[in-house]
Amino acid sequence: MVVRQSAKRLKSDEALAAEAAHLKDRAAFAELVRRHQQRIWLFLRRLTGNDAAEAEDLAQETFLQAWRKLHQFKGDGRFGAWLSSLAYRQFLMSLRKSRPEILPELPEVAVTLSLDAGSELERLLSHVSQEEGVLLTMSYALELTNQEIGDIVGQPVGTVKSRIHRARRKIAEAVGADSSARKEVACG
Amino acid sequence: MDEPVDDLLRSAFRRELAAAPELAQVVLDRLAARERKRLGWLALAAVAALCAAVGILWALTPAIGAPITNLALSFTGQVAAAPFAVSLALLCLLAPWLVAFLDEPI
Repeated sequence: MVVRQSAKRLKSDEALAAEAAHLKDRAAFAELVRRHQQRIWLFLRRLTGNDAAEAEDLAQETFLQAWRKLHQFKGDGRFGAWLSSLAYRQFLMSLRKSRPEILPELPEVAVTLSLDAGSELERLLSHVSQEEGVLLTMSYALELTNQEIGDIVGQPVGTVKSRIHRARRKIAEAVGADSSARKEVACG
Repeated sequence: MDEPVDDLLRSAFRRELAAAPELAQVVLDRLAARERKRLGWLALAAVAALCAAVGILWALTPAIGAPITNLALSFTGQVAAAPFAVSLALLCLLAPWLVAFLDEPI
C-alpha cells in the first residue's frame, strides 16, 4: 500500500488523471486532490473576497465535479489549468445562484475583512483591485501561464499580461513608497 | 523593479498556501457517500421493479398469485388485507435503512 502510494507520488498529474478516469482509481484521485488542494482553495478564497469557509465549500465541489468530469480531460493541456477552470466555473455558478445579474466575467466582489487581513499577502494585494488580485493568484499561486489564465477568464492573452504587469507595478510602487516612508521616519 | 516584487509575491503566496485546509479525506468521504447513495437508489429502483413485477404477476397469474396470497393469508387471515400486510411488513423492514439513506448528507 505504502509502495503504491509512493509510486503515485512519482507520477505526473496527467498520468494520475488518466488512471483515475479509466480505472476509477480513488487513490490516484486523492493524490491529485492533495497536490492541488492548497492552490485551488487559495484561488477560490481570492475569488470569494477572502471568505475561507465559502472557498473550502467551493473547493470541495470543484474536486467532486473533477471526479465526475475526469473523462473529459483529454490531457492536451495541464491538469492544473483544467482544474482551475473548473474552480472558476464553480465560483461563477455559485455567484449566479446568489446574484443572478452577474455576467460570466471577472467579478468585482467587495473584499470582506477577515481574521488574517493583516497577513503579508493581504497587505500586498490591498494595493490592487480584486480582479488584479485574482489574476496575480492565478499567476503566482496556480502557476498558470498568461495563455491559460486568458483561456479561463475569457480574456485575450495580451490583456492578461498587461493587467498582471500593471498590478505588479502598483505593488512595487506601494512597497517602494512604504519603505521610503519607513526610512524617513527612522531618520527622523 | 519586477524581481523584488516577484519574490515578495511568491513568498507571500507560499505562506498563504500553507494555511490551506486538508481536503483530500473530506472529498473522498463525500465521493463514497455519493456512491452509496447511487447504489441505494439503484437498489430501491430494483426493489420497486421487483414489487411491480410480482404485483402484475399476482394479478394476472393465479399459479403465482395463489401461493403468495396463501402465504400472506397464513399471517393475516384476510384475503383483502394480504397484499397490504406484505407491503407493510416490507416497508417496516426497509424503513430504518430508507430513513438513514435519505438523510445521509453528500
